[in-house]
Amino acid sequence: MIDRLIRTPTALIGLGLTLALVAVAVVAEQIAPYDPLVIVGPPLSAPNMTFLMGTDDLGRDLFSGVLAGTRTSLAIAVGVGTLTMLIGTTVGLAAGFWGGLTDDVLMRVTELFQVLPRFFLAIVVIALFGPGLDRLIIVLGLTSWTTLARIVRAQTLSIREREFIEAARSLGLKESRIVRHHVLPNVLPAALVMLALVMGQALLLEASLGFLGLGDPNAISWGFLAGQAQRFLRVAWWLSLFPGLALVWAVLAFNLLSDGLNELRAPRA
Amino acid sequence: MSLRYVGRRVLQVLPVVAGILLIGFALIELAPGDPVLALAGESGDEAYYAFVRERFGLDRPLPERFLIYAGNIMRGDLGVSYVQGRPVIDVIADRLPPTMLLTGAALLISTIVGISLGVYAATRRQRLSDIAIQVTTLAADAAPVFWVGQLAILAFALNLGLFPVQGMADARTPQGILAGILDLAHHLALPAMVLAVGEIAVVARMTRVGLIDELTQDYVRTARAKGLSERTVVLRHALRRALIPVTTVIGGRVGHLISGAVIVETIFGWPGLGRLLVIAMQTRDMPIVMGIFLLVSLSVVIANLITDLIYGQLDPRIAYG
Repeated sequence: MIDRLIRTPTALIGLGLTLALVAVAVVAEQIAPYDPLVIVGPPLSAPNMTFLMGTDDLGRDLFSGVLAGTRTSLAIAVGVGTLTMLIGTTVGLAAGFWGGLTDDVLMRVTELFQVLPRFFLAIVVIALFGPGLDRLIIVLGLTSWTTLARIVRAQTLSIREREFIEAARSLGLKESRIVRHHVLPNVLPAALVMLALVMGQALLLEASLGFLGLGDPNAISWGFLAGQAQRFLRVAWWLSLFPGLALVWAVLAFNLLSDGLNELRAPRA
Repeated sequence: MSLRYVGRRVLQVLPVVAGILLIGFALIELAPGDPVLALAGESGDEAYYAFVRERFGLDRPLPERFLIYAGNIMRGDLGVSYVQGRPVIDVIADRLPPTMLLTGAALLISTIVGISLGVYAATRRQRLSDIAIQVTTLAADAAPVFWVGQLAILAFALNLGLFPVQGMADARTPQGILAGILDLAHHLALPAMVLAVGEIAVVARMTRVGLIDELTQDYVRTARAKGLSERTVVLRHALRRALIPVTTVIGGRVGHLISGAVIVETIFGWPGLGRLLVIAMQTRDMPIVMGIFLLVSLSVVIANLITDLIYGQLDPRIAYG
């Protein structure tokens, strides 16, 4: 496995970038030179040795802000990812394994959730329930599982017909046990490929909402920082450059991880 | 494509639309506080609240309330914007043309540029230009649209002065229809390109992968063996088939495109639906927010329907399954 990983550069780079993201999020508070909410220098100073990414209009350190944003982004990715994985695999396994009416009903529900414009739904939720990370994770998690469910369903349909499933049935194993112990492990790799993509998309969605000022008011996020930068575009390019760069790094990490996992799963001839 | 396929595909729209209405209704009912606030906005006008309570039958049982709600919306009654004092449907209709112009232009740019880049990369597989296109599209796909927009303004508008920074028209533009169109195009160019960047990346990647796959097929070998030029083989034979799945991708990204338009409109001061939505959020004009959500959902449903019908037309193998 390690051998194959080394020969798949996409997976390696994706994994490296993702691990770096997690590491930065864990130590963000320790390595941040300043409190991102406290005024520590002259306003709008360009990047220099004291303020690596410059300061904002009040004189707060942008580098510390970007570090703090890592945590918010990772919280979104993990939260939305967990919900997506739970719902997507459950729906996909049930629809694929039991088929018939279960399949019909679940696939109609999947179609509905697939067309829902997540960005606009999230805005409606924020308008009705107020802003906050928790509800953002819930609304994005409850609406991001559809493609993953379809992939798991397709995989399950093909695995269901295989001999070892028939063997398990003839041994008299309970269906729920067959699904958990024999089908699930086989659909997991394909699900993980999709999961990484979903996590990257969730980061972009949260950033867009943050950019519009609709993010969690108690959490610094890259989108929020970029939104604040808009007013100072003429005088302070660094305010928009660095939060965006951090976001590209994180989304690229998940996208490459997804591509890499896909190559590992089905190596190209 | 049989009439039966078209009929069944069109009928599938109904439960989806019902589901969208149900979700909208459920959110209003679940929201903290009186649902009248979600339906009427926070104007504090008690007489208007009483009117809305009556209209939406808020004292009736839940299922009946849903039917009233769905009925109102199906008749095109999305409520009244309390900030503007006008029906939501009229307010939205006013703002629709700029957004359609912006998204339409971006869709056109991304389709043409995306397919061209994909073909270019696929026919130069593993050469430097292919790798450059692959890396660029990978980065473009990961870049948030607001970042692309801000960088584009910094580079092309502020630094090079090639494009206007804000707005849809210049107040000092000389009179005349042609001058007006040119001025509009000048204002449209940068936001449309910014909105197109992410879509170009996706279309280019899909076209490249699809075309590479088609070029290994037997029929391509036959066509080459017949002595057809490489250009004819690629463009007339392989690309035609490779584009079938690309159509689905383009159609499936309409929701994504409109979300991007909200951001692009904010950055460029483009007076469309996105600006309307952002201002409605600031003034807590709930009927507008809900109306835009319903309208965008419906647009996505219709876009998917059209895409599926085109797909059925392009690919004769499609029977209803």
